[in-house]
Amino acid sequence: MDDLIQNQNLTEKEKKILFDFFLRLPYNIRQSVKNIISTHPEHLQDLFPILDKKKEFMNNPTPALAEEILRMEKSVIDKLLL
Amino acid sequence: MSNKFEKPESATTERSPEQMEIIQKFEEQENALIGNALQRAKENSRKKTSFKTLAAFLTLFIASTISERAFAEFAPAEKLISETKVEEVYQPEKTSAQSSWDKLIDNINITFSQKQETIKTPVLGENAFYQQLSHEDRSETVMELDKIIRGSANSGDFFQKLSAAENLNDTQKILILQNIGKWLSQTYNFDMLDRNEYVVISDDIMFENMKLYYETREIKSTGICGNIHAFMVKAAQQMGTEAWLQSGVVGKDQPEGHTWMGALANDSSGNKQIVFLDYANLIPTGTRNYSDALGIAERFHNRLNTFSSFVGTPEETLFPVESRAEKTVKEVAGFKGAEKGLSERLEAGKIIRPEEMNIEVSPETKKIEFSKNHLALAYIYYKDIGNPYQSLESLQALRESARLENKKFGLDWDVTILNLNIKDLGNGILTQNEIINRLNAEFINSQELSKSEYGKFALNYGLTIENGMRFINAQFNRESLIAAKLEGSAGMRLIYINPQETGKFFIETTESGRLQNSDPQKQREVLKEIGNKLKIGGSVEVRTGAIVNLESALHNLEYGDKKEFTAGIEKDKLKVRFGGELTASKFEKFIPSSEKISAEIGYKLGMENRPKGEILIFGSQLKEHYGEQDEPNKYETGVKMRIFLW
Repeated sequence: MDDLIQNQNLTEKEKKILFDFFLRLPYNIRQSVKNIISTHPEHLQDLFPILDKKKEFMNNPTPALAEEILRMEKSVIDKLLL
Repeated sequence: MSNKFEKPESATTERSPEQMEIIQKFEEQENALIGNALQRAKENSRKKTSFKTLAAFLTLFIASTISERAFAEFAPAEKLISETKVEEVYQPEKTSAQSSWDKLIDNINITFSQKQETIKTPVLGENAFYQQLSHEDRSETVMELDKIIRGSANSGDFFQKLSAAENLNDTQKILILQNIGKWLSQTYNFDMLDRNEYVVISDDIMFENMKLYYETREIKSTGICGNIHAFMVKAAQQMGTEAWLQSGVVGKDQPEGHTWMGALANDSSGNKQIVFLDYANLIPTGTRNYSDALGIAERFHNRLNTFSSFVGTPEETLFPVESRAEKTVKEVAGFKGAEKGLSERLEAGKIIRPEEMNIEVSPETKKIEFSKNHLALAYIYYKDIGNPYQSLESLQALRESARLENKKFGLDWDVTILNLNIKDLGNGILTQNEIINRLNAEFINSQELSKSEYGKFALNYGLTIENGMRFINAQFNRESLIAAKLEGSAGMRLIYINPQETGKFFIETTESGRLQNSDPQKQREVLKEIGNKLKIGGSVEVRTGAIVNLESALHNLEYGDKKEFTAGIEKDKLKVRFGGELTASKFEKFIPSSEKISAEIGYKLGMENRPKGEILIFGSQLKEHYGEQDEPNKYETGVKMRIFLW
């Protein structure tokens, strides 16, 4: 998994975020996510801001933050469905 | 490897009901968004590749919600969502057939180690012990004993006259004891043995029946081994000889429990050593090291002692003592003591079940062990490298373990089948098969006591019971059960974590006990306190980002005090640790006072926060002394490699 992350064109900070993200996942989900990243690395740039917001939300859940995350996710979905 | 500052699983972030509701509502809305997106994609008849791209992204949404919630709540991610939810959205393609070890275990540990110590070849045998005792001195001793026995009316007289024989040298005193043992062995009470009767026989009866046999060769029964050797110990003590009782299993063909005596004596050359007397059989050991002396006794008796070797006085059984072979066999069979196991769980706050493969190689031992889920299997081969005090020539063992647990309770059941080759005192080897059964029951609980702006308190508490049973001739039935042990330990650890979570401090106490015989004659089972422990320690993250650990412990044990101290520092990929252990024994005849220093240095390979592996170099020096005699220093060095698979 180290190699997979190291091979991505990411900053050190982004690699760290991705690394922590992996660590917290159960084995099967981690395998799925590994597979996605190796086959669709272009999604990573859209993922980081969402991960950041989710971290903030889970530490201090507010309706405003929930709404903001859902808006960000919807925007990515809309882009993909265009 | 877990970070010292990782919050314990039990220390979940407390959320208000309102916050829980916001999170739940968010997850429902996110699920709806994802479901809606999948529906829209299908309706739009997207190309398969685009659909997969969308599905992949939706998986990342779900996964990120799980991961961030899991981290914030310190809960295992598995508890928050079923994995099938992700798999429903995105079915990963089969990954290539790369190594599948990572699906099986978390770590592979490989250890190479070596011990160094200086061993003097002992001069064994009765003849060597008496070599410088002249015929005149021998005759004088026997005549003196004859005079004492004939001139004594009762045991009081006998002991008083023996105490006047203090001017005899040690070899003469041992010769007297050997003769007493010879005559008393003729008065052995087989009825008591048949009835399993364990009672105290008065010194007067012992003396009268011995005198009767000595003077007339008429046999009147006295007692069994415990009674006879207890009388011999009292006789030795009257002559100013340090003497005690030793129990164990003996008998080449039909093993049975036995008690004999030990004494400290100068041999003809003036060297002080431990000698054992088994009735009239004299077993000089050539050493003051009690563990080594037991090895010589095992070679004499052609039996190893597991769980059965205790020292005592005529009035009281003191504590267990171990030969080198017993240490080896217990290690092979998975025993580590109730207190040690409990202490590991008190630190973790939970039942630990490593899933790993261990490979250990030293000049004597080759071991491979594999543990996964509820099962573990180990194969161990041990071969002695010419140590005369090690009664084991070689062993092969196969250990199978079943492990059951829920969150708070755990049960380990280890069955070890051993093929033992035991040395005799010549060049002969005896082969024996045994089964050792280990049952370990554990309870552990972890509770957060309070959490505020001033930090957090948590309490871990638990109980461990370790039970061992030894079956001879590889027969797993009641008749073959030859020795057993039961040991328990209870304890608690109070933990404080500071508000910035840069410091963690603890105080731990444990109390341990064991079932054993009350004394060598009555042999009633009693619960005896083994000792208690107070341990304090902490780890602090300092400004440079290094983590400093300090721990110290004070053990009040049945044979003395033990103080332990460790200090360590971790920075980036480097880890260094120093440790010291100081034992002050009140029974230096049996358990040495000692000083041990150890050090290890570790380096992580790969990324700092999730390394691919670790290399650990370790070493230690042990100084022991039995009474006034210093043992040669013992050294151990080794390298351990850990490979993390994930």
